Amino acid sequence: MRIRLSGAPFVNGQNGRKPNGSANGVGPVSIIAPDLHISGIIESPGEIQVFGSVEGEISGQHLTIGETASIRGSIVAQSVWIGGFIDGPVTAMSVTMAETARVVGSIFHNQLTVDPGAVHEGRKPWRLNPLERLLTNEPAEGQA
Amino acid sequence: MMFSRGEQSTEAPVTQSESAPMPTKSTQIFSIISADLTIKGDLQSNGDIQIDGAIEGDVKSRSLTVSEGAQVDGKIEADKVTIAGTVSGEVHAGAVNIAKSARVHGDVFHNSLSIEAGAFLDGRFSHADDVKKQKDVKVSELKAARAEQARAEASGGSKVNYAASASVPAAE
Repeated sequence: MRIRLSGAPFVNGQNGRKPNGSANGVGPVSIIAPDLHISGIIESPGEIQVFGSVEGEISGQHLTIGETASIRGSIVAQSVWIGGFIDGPVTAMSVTMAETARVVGSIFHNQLTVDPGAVHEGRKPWRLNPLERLLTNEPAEGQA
Repeated sequence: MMFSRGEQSTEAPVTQSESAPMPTKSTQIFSIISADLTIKGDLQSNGDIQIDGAIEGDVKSRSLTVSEGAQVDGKIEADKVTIAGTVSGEVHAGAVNIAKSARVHGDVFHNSLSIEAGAFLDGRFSHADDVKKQKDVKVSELKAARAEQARAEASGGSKVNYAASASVPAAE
């Protein structure tokens, strides 16, 4: 899985400014509705709510993967709430898996909340700063 | 009344699990690509999309709004499209609305078109019917013309009407 460094929320490639790490999303929210399918790279320094299907990479400050969402690809965020299906590595400081969450792939996290009923197939490695692994090119899956 | 009450009672147990903190009703949500969002890739939707950000790729949707400040580099296909931002690429849509803040670089194929004074346009505008007719001409009339030509050559005659084929645009 290819992960672009510029996609990390800490590194805003477009204007080089560092977004503040406030937990509540400030500014406009992007919404990917259930009937929208995107194949490609999605980048935002702000908040993204995904209810549709995405094939590709998503990176943002705060991500919501809704119950109807289906993601095939990597996810990089400051914090992510997962209620849908993800096939790919998740990298975030704070990860919340709701009871409807289904994730196949590693979850690199600093804080992980898993509701009863959530399904996860893969590793859940703890990192002091999980987003640093993108800078060191740490492999997402278990392979060496 | 009796029947309706009965129906209600059968439908009552079907409760939706609405414990999720986020709305999931598919019919009411439309997609918003906010100003700080960039997408490199294609978008496909049966609903509505509002683009305030930047997209490098093709967009296919039922209804599409490209807001002021937004940028789309790619082909747009929609039933209805409103353009107030910058579009670089072909636009295929039933109804096209171009606002004064719009910049359109590319050909626009439409069934109905409105352009506000002040819009920056760089491209050809064609009615979809004309395009369709041209395509029909390309396929059917070219075939007919060729068949006639072949027939004429076979019979050795020289009275072939090329007028019809002369107006036919070159096949791609």
